Amino acid sequence: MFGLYPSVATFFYSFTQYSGVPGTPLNVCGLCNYAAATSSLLSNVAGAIWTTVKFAVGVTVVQTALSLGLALIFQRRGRSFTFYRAIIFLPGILSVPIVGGMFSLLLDPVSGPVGELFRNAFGIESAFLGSGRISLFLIMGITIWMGCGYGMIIFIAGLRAIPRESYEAASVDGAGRFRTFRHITWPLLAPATTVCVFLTSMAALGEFALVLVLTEGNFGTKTLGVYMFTSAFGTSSQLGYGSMIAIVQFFLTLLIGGGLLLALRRREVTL
Amino acid sequence: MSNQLTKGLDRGQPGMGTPPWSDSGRATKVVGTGRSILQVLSRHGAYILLSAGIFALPLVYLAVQAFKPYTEFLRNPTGLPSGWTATNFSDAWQQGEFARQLVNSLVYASMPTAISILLGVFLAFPIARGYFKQTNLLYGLFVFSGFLPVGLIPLFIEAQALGLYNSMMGYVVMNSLVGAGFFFFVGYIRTIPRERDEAAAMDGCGYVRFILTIIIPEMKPALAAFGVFGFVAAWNNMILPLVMLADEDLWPVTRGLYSFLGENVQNWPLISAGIIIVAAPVVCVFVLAQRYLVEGVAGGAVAGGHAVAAQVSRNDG
Amino acid sequence: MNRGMDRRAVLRGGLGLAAAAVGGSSLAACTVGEQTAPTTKAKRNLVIVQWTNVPAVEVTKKINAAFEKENPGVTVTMRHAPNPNNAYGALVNSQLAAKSVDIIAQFPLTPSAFPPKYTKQKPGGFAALVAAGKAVDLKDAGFMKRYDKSQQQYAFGYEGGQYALMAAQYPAYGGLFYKKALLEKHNVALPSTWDELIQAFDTLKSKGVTPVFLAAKDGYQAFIWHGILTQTLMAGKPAESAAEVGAARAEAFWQGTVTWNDPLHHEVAAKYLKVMQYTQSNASGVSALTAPGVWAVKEDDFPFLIDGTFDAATIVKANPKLDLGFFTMPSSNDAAVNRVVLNPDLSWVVPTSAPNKDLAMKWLEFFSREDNYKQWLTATGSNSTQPGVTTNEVPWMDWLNEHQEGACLNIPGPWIPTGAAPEAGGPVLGDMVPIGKTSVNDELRQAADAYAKARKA
Repeated sequence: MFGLYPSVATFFYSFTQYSGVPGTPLNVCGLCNYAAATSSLLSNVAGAIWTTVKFAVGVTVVQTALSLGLALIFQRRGRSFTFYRAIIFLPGILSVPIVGGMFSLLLDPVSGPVGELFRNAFGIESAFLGSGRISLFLIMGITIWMGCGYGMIIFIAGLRAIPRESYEAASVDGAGRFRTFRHITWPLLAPATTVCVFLTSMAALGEFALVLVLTEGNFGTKTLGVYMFTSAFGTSSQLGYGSMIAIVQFFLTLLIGGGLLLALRRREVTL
Repeated sequence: MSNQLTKGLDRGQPGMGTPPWSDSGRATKVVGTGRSILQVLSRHGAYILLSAGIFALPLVYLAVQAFKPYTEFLRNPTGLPSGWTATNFSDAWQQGEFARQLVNSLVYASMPTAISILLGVFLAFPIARGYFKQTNLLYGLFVFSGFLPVGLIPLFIEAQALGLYNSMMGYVVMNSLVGAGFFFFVGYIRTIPRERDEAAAMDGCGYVRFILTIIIPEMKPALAAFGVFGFVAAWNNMILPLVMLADEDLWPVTRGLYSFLGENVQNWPLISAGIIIVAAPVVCVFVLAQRYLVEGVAGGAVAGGHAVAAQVSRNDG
Repeated sequence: MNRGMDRRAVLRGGLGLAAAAVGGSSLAACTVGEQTAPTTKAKRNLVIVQWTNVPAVEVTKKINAAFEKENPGVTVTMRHAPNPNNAYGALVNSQLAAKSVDIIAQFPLTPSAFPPKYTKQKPGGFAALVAAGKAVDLKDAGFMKRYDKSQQQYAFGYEGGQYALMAAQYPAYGGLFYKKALLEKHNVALPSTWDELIQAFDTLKSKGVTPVFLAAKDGYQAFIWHGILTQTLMAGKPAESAAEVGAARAEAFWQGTVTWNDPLHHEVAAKYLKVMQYTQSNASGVSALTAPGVWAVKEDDFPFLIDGTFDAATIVKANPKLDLGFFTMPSSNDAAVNRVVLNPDLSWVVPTSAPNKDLAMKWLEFFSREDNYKQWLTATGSNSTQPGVTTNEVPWMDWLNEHQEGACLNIPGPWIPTGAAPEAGGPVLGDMVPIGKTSVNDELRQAADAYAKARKA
């Protein structure tokens, strides 16, 4: 009820030149926003889609791999491991403005500790978040830093669900660690992998708040979400145009998410 | 903060008893047999480095800054404080008016979570038992609707029309009807054998009593996991209270923190202190409920929690 | 230019002194109201929303208290939220939707927010509210006579009406803070022409000092660009003609007779590039939120800081002992061209949906009185928009007080169609050298192409 109606309204606004300020006319204009987007497709929207896809693929692949690695290391039972897991999960429970502010401070090239470390230890100078070359990767890293804990927990649940007999059978066969992982653990983790990959990629495709706080979408980090936000809100903004981008974003998510889910499910079955 | 955190954990742990999955007995050996701290450290050094060094270091750095005066921070932004002072904490506490807001936040984060869990279980049970066929479709729809952009102003107008604007109860009601829990409980209830229902019915157990005394205890890990994710997401929501709660008396602590950040943009030591004050309760809740998380995840509750978080963070721009 | 304004608007929020506790005004207000409630008049509540900026919020509360005293039975409630992430915008929109707000603080629109009909563009953001007739026209209000008409029209004029009271303006474009003692130490006098400026930079550089500190992560290099651009466009024109010059330029842009690839823009770009050579390396990683404080404590380096006067309070707080000065960068060897560029800022809007319109007008009148307005100006550190009122005596304002004559407002940009590429609004300085990789020639050509394409679409 509180999710659907406002979403439908967004869909409707995408066909208007509505400013978003209450009390102003809606200016229904049909497909004008979509037409405008098509005419500037190459420079604007397509660029944002490409950045979004790069971001989502990078985050999904690395975060899933790291989460699995962490799960294998920290899956053991025991109080100390409970504690380690809590630490790893910690970044995930902080809100975006806090994390964003924190990393702006850490990565400030003049007054931040990371800049100082790189200067003193390696003699490297970098603008970090202000560098068109590495900015997107840094934001990916921060996103992964925040999300790893979730992924790890999903994989640990998956690992716990693997019956002990499977491993026993493998050790009887004299399989080494790697082969056990390759032939037993990995295939049996398929459901956990599905959940992890799907949730991570969906969240990454929609990401904008963190980017907004860290770079405002500058230095090659303008994802579709950021583009939507900056178009919809601001002094000269139009909610109508922003809504159109939100709809494009939604269909992109639906397309990729649906495809991914199908592929992952099929993989679960064949494995 | 790492110190406080460790202490909190140490204190919290004994009360938590043995983790439910420690049946193998391996767990208790590691800590329980009274090895010296040094031995544990040398054995666990790599783990500590990996977990604390990567995931807690930025927070520790932030916490250290909170013990510096502003002027010292500007001159020496990266070093340790020359004289540790707690004035930033007391200043932040007073300036941010966090006391009342923390109470509000507790209400906003716990009540909707509790209500949506209860509602969710009662609704999920009949569906899990097959009175309704299209759950998979609904489930898919629900997951994707989490990724549809939520128009903040339409949401506001709707809330206003329903009389939920600028009231504590209204805010709780709005957040209780998110409905995410419902779908994920369905999957979990299916794992509870049907024979239980029949046995209970034979004993003359009513529906409500059956849910409360049989199903809910059975679902504890899922509920706890879902509760933690819901609590954390609700606690961290910044934009919704901004739009829905105009009076300062009604603000949750994140809304207060938001203004606090805006008022002290440059004063990082003070901001750090504020962040720690606001984040501490969430960390505590998390630590206390952590042991249920892994189990709850198996029942799909993490997806539910995640979806709630995703939906909430949509509004978090 | 709208983009420049936008960014500044975002950053402006909450900059300033971290001062005493906020909040509690509503409580105080209630007690005042209750004491007088037993009289025959019904209790009335005036609601003001403003973005979080500590000195401004604090002083407005003082004025509110005095207003309540003068008007028994009236209480004033203030609501505020910080600008970043559109928090303030969300607050304003929810209050407008609830029809519960009487006075709203807004950033000025500039004339280019209202494209003429033939462009087929609809005004966006708050301009739409004005265009829809949902803001009260203050044209005939008595208190508006205290203010400079051309400046007020520039900020919130639309088809002859006056839809807000612009209360603050700040010198920002071309603005440089400087360290007096450091310049003296290196025997460098404050430059008053372009050649002197470059010479001063070179001298300082030869002594191992990085002349200019810049927060380019948040695009403050735009202050240099717009400073040079405005001074160049306004050369030989009267100060009050900024709006007309801007309108004519916007029209010419739309017709295609002026483009971003013109010699004029190349000239501006060349000067911009020259100044940028003297900024610190890694400038693009430095955030505008940390820059003033970091700059203030480094007494032996970075004699200049690119920033607007709204950050003066932050600098003074970070290093109270610093011998601080402020001046506007000269972009020409002709002294008459080197004028101070003012950026219109906080303006009060009364929406037509306000439940207490008469009270809102009364409050604006009260605010405009000389003693109240002066108190407000001193607290916020902004330049006066009432010709009769001046602030003074602030040590770092010495240069400004001498050079206030001939100060002009910034030039509004061209009309930008919705959905246009970012380049259409002018070269994207973050992409252009030295911050980005694109050469000046390429960036200006792309900007011209993008505008042409957007105009035709």
